[in-house]
Amino acid sequence: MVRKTRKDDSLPGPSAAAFSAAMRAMREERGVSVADAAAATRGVSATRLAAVEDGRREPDFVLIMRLARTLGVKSAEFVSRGEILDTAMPLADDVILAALARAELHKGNDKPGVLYATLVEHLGLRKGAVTSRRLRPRLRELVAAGLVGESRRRGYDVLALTPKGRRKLGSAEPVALPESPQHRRWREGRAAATERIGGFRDELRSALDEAAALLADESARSDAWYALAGRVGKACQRVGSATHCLREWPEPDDAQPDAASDEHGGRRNYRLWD
Amino acid sequence: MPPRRQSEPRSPEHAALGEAVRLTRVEAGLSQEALADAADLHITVLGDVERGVGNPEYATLVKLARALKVTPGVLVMRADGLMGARPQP
Repeated sequence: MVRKTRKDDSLPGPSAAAFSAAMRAMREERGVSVADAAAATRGVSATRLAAVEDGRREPDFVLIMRLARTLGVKSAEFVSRGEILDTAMPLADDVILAALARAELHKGNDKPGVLYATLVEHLGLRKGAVTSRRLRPRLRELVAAGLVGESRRRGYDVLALTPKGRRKLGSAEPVALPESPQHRRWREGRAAATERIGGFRDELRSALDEAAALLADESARSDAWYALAGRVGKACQRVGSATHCLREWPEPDDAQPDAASDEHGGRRNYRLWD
Repeated sequence: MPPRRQSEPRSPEHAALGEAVRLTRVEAGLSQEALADAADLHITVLGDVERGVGNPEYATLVKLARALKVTPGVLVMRADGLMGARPQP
């Protein structure tokens, strides 16, 4: 008889709260609103979905299956994500190894190894005491088992998959990792650009109107021109950056690093808009 | 509310879950009674789930999974697989 069992049978799955949080996280990662998700899911109202995500109601089986189909995920992925989010559960080996492999891949250079903080980011966890309490001891076990290598570079701990770790990962079931940092940057950049681009265009328009007014006024002082120069330049850059985020930045594929991020780094940094 | 005792599965999803639970139970060598007992569920609840009539909440799935010594993910994954195997209505 072949049966998949966990190392620890006393922990059959994530808590209901973690499971609900996983549903919400995976919906948000796909940029789908509660209303749109409910509208696309037979027999599920927005009110009910919101209540489920808030943990006020429990999801039933059919909601789980149908929401998964709406979001284009496997319903079992809600469970595996819930396990990552459930702070009472140990992080599974395969999850840590898969996150480490992805972190190394997305780093986009040949040097092996990533920082602990980068691994935390790929696991979709926040830095802090809870993360350390869950990840550190598991990492120590993986290092002891020869699956993860640990070294020090410039005073920081650097983690890398060992060949043995890579082999173990290759033979494991695929793991549904949280959204990658590069995909989140793309999604957030797009959302910010959608929201702001109209305002940026208006700003540029009004700056250009002022320029036209200055041109018509032959007595305009040099100070006025120099003051306007900064505003016109800034407005052009914002429109350009938002345009790039909205129309020229293709959705990154997790199988490779988001290649253009160096070349277009500035254009993609919507945090520079303000 | 649908009638309490119903024989037709509610939907293909429910039928698939019922099959997944039944297959996993039989593989574990458990009778319905034994599983219901181990999962702390009434046997009619388990019977309804296996016939695709019941719509178990997440907590019930966890109870069933624990008693079957699998994760809820394995159970749901199995149902997913069985769904894919049958024609969609």
